[in-house]
Amino acid sequence: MLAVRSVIVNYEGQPVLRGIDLEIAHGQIMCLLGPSGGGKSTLLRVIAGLEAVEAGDVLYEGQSLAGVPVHRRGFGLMFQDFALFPHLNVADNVGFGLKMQGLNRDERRRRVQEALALVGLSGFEQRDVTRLSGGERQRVALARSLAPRPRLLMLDEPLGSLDVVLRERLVEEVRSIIKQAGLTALYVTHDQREAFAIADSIAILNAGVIEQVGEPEAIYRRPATIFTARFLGLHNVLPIMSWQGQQAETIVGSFAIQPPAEAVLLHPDGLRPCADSDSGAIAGQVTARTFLGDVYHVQLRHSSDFELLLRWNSADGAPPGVGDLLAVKPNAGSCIGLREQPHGSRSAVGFVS
Amino acid sequence: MRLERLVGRRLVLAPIVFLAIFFVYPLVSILIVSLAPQGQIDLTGFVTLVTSNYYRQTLWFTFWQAAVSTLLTLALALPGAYVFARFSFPGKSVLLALATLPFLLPTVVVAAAFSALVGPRGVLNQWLMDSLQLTSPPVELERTLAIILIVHVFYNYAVALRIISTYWLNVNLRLEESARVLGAYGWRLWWDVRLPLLRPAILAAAALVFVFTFTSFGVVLILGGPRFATLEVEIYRQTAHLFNLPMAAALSLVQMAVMFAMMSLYTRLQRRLALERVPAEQTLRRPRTPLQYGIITLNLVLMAVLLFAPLAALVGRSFSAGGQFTLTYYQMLATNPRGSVLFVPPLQAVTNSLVFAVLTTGLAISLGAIAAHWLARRASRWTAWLDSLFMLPLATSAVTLGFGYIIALDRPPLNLRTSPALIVAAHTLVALPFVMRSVLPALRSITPSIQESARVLGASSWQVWRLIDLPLISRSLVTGAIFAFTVSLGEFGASLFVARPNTPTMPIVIYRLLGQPGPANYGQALAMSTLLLAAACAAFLLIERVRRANGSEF
Repeated sequence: MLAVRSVIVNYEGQPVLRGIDLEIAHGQIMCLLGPSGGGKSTLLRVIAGLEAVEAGDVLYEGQSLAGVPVHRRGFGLMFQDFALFPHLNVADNVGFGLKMQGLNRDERRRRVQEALALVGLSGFEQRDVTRLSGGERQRVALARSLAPRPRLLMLDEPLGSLDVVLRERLVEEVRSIIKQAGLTALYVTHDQREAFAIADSIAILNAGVIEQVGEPEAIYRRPATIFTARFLGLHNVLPIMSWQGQQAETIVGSFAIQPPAEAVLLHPDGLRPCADSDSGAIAGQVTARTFLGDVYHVQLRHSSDFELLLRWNSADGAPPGVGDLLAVKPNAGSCIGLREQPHGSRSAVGFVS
Repeated sequence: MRLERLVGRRLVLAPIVFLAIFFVYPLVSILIVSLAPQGQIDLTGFVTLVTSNYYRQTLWFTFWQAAVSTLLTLALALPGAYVFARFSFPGKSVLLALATLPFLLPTVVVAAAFSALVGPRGVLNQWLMDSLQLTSPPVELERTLAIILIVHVFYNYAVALRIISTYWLNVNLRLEESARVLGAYGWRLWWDVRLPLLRPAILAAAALVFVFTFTSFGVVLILGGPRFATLEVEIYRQTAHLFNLPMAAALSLVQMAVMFAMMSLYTRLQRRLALERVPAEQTLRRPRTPLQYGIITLNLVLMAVLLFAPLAALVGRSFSAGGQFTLTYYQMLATNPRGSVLFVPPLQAVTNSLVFAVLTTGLAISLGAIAAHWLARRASRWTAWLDSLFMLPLATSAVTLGFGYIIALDRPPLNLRTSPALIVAAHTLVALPFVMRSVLPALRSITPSIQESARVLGASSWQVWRLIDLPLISRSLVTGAIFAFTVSLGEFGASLFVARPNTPTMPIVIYRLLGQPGPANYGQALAMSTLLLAAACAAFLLIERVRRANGSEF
């Protein structure tokens, strides 16, 4: 098990990581999700030993890695630019880590073949890495990271430089390859769809702080902070103006929320049309309607001018058009209390599956 | 592992120690000798420098000949840069590459070449005398200011052309097109748009050319005759002829001050060159109008005459005596009939030069690779400082260096006066910046993630260097090595001070032969110059081959 304990990193006086706690269990794929500049890559570099920490520690199986240099950590790290060695062919790239381990030529050749087979590049051994396509380079880089069987495989936006179509196809493939190889992995991305598809567990990292850790469904269904909700595109965030017992008052009505919370999220997936007269109905005028295939995005303007987004299953027929009046009501469990700061002041509790 | 790291750390010291002994120490000695020749502060040297008409004139001449040379060079190179940056025509890349050849040519070779072209015994005068039945050479360019300026243009034309045209190529053509749409035309286009856009490149080129011509030594010494003296030449005369070391030291100090000022100016300008660059796009087109054809042709003719006529004259003249083809001069190189000026047969100098060049190359590459490796990794104020320290020899004239060796390294604690090691040290110091300029950018262009990948995969720093960095910079190392070799072969200024009579190098032999009367000595000088020219050409071709195989990194 890998554990990150209260890691703080500053760059020229600016905090980059403000006390990170994180645990990754064996065989788990954890995804660090967050906006660019949030400190995701820095955290990876800290774990790899490429970055020095101001304070805190990284532990593997309870042992501190503080004095262990990069090349003795036995971790794998795949960069966004793949960082293939331009002067070596595919086989020598993939076999580099094995050579460093002191494996003999035959053993190396076997393991290289194995790794290349795993990523679907059998027969590419002698190819020149500078002449590969983007997808092929990505696979070679993956094979190179996998081949030495690292104790922890880290991937820094491994699909970031590829085009969208390729990315969607490769996400699932990368997950199945990591699972087949039985590796523990830490995967960095800023793309939530990628994160949902690949991760067993997601840690949301923003401005050097972990906002929330949880399984993908849990994160999506029940975001814990205002930042997480907004980052996932769940924009119906209503500031709480006052409390009436367990009822939180907002600009569009009051909702039953478990305190403490600073805002209410009306999950766009859980808003259903209802009659104007229903208690708790939120009525407004449709200002935009976007067809996205499986769903429509319907934008509703409440009398308070608050814009509400709802996701309307296209299987249920077409939603009202622009200018029409519409009343909606949240399902049970679709009113979620949000915190301004992540739970537990500056650090977040780790997640272990 | 620990041993490896310990050795690694110690190794870093090697280039620094070398620089301290063979660069900083001699320069500090100059400082001391100039300020306190007898051990006490005594500024009479500087007082003489300012009060004496003679030294004031030397100083003034050094400045203004450099300024005029710079202006002339820019005036000729600017149209050339326009042609190379905006038009495509057959043979262009070859020509642009060839234009850099002079940069590799030793000063003595160039002096000999111009002497072979327009000197009293040169091709032009011989032809005129033969065809016009004259008894004395009609063209009297040797020992005039004109020849000095012409040779300076010869040397620096390509330098300016390269800097300006490369920059120009990267200036977005859209800017110019926008200006034309807005009504700029003709000279307004040049004055209001093109020249202001090119200003950083023009200034950088001017600073560099000024530096080169300000330190001109061999050209002025050989072609200028006794009437002309730059600071460099004066330092040499004060040392070698008058043994006035305090005076030479004072002159060296002035020289260093000017050079450092100019070089820091150049470095600052160069940084701007990098910053203001716009992504290159396809800006080249074929010439269309007769005017454009005319401009291109004129430039090509100019380049041909300026750059290649002297070299052709040198080769041709070295093979001819009295209008007949002959190998006599080459055969004579192996003999030393009267043993007069030289203690050894001239051919011995070839061996000397080759040995020195090989040693220099080895030393410069080792020290350069260690220093570059160390500098490429770390970015701090400390390394920025060291970085410029390693480039400083470029801003120090070879003459100053040689003079510094004479006063610093000929007495305990380090008495190397009689040792040929001094030549190798001087050559290495001159070559080191070239090696660094070649290796350091290559090392820095390696994406950090490549080295980090190797480390994560289990490679120690030594393994990263051996398995990743070294293979990736091998071409640059080769280029650096060729540069070092060529620089060593042609080095003249420092060698003149430190070479012993029994171990002369080729340039020194050429210089001595040129100073002797008689067609045999002259012929031998040209023959040996041709050999050096051939070596420089070979080096040039090798560098071009490496460069082409490498894409264009240089």
